[in-house]
Order: sequence, then C-alpha cells, then structure tokens
Amino acid sequence: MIGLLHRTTFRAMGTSCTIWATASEADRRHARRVLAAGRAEVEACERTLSRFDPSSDLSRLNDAAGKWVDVDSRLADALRLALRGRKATGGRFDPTILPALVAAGYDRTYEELEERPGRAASGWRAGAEVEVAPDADRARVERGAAVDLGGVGKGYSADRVLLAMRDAWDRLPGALVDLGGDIAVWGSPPDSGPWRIAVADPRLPGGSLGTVRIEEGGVATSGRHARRFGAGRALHHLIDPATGAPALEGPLAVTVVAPDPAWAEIHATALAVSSLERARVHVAGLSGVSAFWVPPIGAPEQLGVLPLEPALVGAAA
Amino acid sequence: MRRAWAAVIAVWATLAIVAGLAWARPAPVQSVAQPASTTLVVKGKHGTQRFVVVGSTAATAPHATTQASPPPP
Repeated sequence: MIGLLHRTTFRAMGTSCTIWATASEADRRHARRVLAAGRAEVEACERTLSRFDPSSDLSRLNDAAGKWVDVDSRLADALRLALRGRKATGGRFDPTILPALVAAGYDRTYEELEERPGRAASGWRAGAEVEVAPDADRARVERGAAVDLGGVGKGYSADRVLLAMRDAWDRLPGALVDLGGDIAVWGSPPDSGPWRIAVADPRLPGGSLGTVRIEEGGVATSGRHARRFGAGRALHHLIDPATGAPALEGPLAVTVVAPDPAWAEIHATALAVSSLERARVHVAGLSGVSAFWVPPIGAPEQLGVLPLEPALVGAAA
Repeated sequence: MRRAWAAVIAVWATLAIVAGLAWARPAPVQSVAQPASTTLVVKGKHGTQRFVVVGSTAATAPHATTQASPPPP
C-alpha cells in the first residue's frame, strides 16, 4: 500500500478529464504539483491540436493552403504518429477525413451542433498528402485537404500528460490519465498491482463488459453510440475513409488495450470502421494489442488476449 | 502626507498579494484511499489455510471506466 490516489477533474477537449496520481499522505504537495503539471499539459495539447480553435496550430496548418507552417512540437509529433497510423491500418485510420466529417454535419463543437441533413463531401478523397519535416517542427497539408486528429489526439495527449507528470516529480509511484474515456496508465496504484479499467457496455448504461488490468499502456474506445447528430441523430462521427460518409459497417463500439495510448486510439478508430473478420485479422497481426468488440446485434467478442480480471468473489490459496 | 502614501502603498500591496494567490491557486485536488485486498489467515484441523478475500468492493473497484467520446453533460 503506497498511500492515496490524488485526483483532479476538469473540462477540456470537449469532455470531462480526470488525472490521478499515486502518492503517500506525506507527499501530498508533490501530488498537487504533479496534477497541476498534468492539467497544464492537457490544456497545452488542446490549444495546439484542436480543430475547433481557429488560433490553434492545427487550424493554422489547415488554413495554410498547402504551404509549409512552423508548428508546435506536439502537433508535429502527433502528425508523424497519425501518418504512421494511416500506413499501419491500411488507411482505415486517416487523419485527413476532416472535409468528409464537416460535410456530414460535424462542423463545430458537439455542444454547438445544429440539426441539418448530412451531405456527401464533393471532391473529397482519402489519403491526402500530409508532410512533416523530419528534422524540424514544420508541416504541410495538401491544398484543399484538412486534418482532424480526433482519432489519435486524446491518446497522444494522454501519453504526453503522463510524461509531464513524471517530469514534475521523479519519484512519482504511478499515474492514470483519463481524457473522456481514452485512458493512459503508468506505474502503480496505491493498492499496488495493476491498474483496473472497467470496460463500459455500450448497450447498457452503467453496465460493464469486464475489467482489464494493465500496468503500463493505454485503453481507448471508439463507438457510434455516442456523439450522434443530424436529423433524428442518425449520423455519427466515425467516417469510413473508403466512402467518405459515416461508417455503415463495423461495431457498435470497440475498446482496444495496447502498450501505447496513442496506438490504442488509432487501432480503435480503425477497428470501428471494420468488419469483424477484418478486425480479427488486424488484431492478430499486432503484438500486445487486444480488443473488446461489441456488435450492433449479438454477443461481444474478444479479439486477441485481453488482460481481463478474473471474475472471482473469493479464492483459497 | 507620508502616512497617506504609506497607507495607499499598503493597500495596493495587499491587493497584489491577494491577486497573486488567487492566480496561483492550484486546481482542486481530492485524495482518496484505495484499500488493498484483505488477507485472512485461518487455522483449521489440518494445518494452516490462508484465504485471500477479493470480494471487497473497495479493493477490487476499477480505477477508471472506458467510454466513447461522450457528449458533454
């Protein structure tokens, strides 16, 4: 038993964020400093990566009409990661879906969305050109294209927040970052052992599919049951890069456990627009990655070996 | 006159200190204990048996719960 879990909760990135730090009672001041550093990093990532803030580095890049732009290292790193993710998922995760997402109706923050019919993104194509200088924080997006980091930004930010917290106190025993359900963990909780993350059941409010136990890495969920919009809330934000429209194929929700929080979100985004068969092949080809797949109809399936907590109520040794 | 200036400076200094403290006020932090699993040792007829109790809600409660980009409250 290390001590206490110290936490702070605040709104950022359009959702509720909570960050936790393990520390003894005597180290309460260190915990406060760690949490403040974590929150500052969340806010810095939002200022840089948000497509809804016209002054963010991402908005400046999208508005640059194909010119090279100096950007914060956070955006340069996130773009490099997103491009690797597009390649690794065969284009099912694509950071350049923004024009299609806007055409579908998700053209402002979720709080401000108005009910209007979605339309096809005329002239849009997947795989637009994005370049990041290999040795400098500069980037360029093909003229007419635009980037949205919705499928990687929170996972990437959660990982950076963990690093900021560890930098703030080099004896930090453990930390958990929860950015609206995209979760990153490192170290130990106060009760030792791994961190326990309940996987929410999208079909049953308050229900759980099980609890995964991880010591380091990330858990990310992508699903079409949340953030619906448009007439009759018939549309969702998961654009299939193959069609440029909200995905018809894929699960109701998928939760991915991976050694890296950003990659957990990339894989969750890709699997959310994939058939079950394709998802099985995708996860089978990855090391240390597993997923809970919840179809629109039928029983949930496990892909790969999920680190699930045994459903014990008592055991004799 | 000197006293008047001293009073004005004192008031401004106090206001500056209060403003500084308010600006630097840390985010609200909650601290919660996370009880560990309880181990009970029970001696029986055939020697010692050790039981690990994992049924305690507090000891096995998840630290966080996943969700898919929830809409704002």
